[in-house]
Amino acid sequence: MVGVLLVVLCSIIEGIAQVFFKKSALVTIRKRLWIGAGGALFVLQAFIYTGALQLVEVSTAFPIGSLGFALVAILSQRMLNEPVTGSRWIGVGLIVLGVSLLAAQA
Amino acid sequence: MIPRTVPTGLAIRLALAIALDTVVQILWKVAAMRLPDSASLAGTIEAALRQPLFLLVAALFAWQLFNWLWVLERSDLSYSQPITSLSFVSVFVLSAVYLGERVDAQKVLGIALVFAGVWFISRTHHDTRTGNGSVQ
Repeated sequence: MVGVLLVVLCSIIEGIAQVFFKKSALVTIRKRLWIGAGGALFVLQAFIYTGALQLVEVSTAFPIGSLGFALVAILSQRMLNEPVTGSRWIGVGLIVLGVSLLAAQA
Repeated sequence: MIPRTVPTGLAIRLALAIALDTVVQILWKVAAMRLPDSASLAGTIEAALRQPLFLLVAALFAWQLFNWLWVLERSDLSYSQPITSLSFVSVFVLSAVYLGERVDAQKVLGIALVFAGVWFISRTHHDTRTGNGSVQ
């Protein structure tokens, strides 16, 4: 259970890191600050993920990680004001399902 | 849904992002398998630093980051990030071909769904910001 929560936490941290990277593209000043913050979150996420893999199987971790695609869509809409329309939601939904099937053990 | 045209440069960089992601994931697996079992974290890190594959992976990571920042300068995060899910397909296909991973109906359905999802995303506009990067 702790392992699953850690994998979810990793997805959240990675999603926020992606928002920071995109922020660096939107601002005209302090670009490097956003890139640095995003990079730091990525490294943090990698360490937590490595720890989480001691507790859960990769075949469990990967499908949970696919929820990250849905999370990035939500964060893009809320934090970056991107228009996540019907087509994008359908696309993200299919991807989450597809990646889960690819990663899960039959 | 109106068909959209993606600039060639962006398409190439997205393909590069997927290719780099694929190579990094596979090299990471191979490099990790070569590491001796070590009880301590310090021992593992020390062994990793002496492993040239890890240095290659680190260089590819850096390339991946610069390429990704280029992509984000020219496209929505909610457009480009889901498209990179294609790396799950390429990693699976390479694992099936070279590492003998089993291909069954579930995996084929998974691949089809990822492709369908990417198709839906690609029907939306790649960069919805107005102007040319001057929006705060």
